[in-house]
Amino acid sequence: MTLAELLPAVKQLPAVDKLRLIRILAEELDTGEDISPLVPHKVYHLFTPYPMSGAARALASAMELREDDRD
Amino acid sequence: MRFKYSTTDPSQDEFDSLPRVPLVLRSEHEAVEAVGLVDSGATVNVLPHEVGVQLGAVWEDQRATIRLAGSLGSQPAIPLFATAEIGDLPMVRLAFAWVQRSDVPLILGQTNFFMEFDVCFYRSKLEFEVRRRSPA
Repeated sequence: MTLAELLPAVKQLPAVDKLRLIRILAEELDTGEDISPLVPHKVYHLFTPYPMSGAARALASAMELREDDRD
Repeated sequence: MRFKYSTTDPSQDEFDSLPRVPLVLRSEHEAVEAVGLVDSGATVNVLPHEVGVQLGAVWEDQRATIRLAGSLGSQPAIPLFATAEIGDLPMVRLAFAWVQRSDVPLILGQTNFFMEFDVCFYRSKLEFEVRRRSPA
């Protein structure tokens, strides 16, 4: 079936169904698009804390202090 | 190919040094020089908004079909692809989660930077090595 054949029937749909059709087609396009190696609708996690400027020096200083206490 | 750990600010010192790699990202019509943080703690590559715009991408909410969670907060992202040139290494196609914020680092994470490159960290020498992965 071509778009030209389909269009008259689609135009007769009530507004609410037209909106529903738009949403269905949009979702199909989203999931059909090749975004490999990413996966549609997946949540990707970032575990590294950013930014943490100064934290490493503070930790190193704390370790040095502790070692001094032991001596 | 070996790179030095680096900082982004003169106020930072060796303790703030991180593995950052200079790269050129290319889309169909644009090329952008950038610096990426090599981050094994990120499950995905992340592209700041500004860099995506420089590559010619246009943000459309309905194309934000993936989501980031974690230390940068929860935010929608658009899958975006760019060819990356890193030094004299062979070019590779990288998949990014393009976010709406520009105050985030360009992150090179597990998908798919670490899938395409083998990385060895030599933190004691403030160096790291990036090699194209061996063929499967």
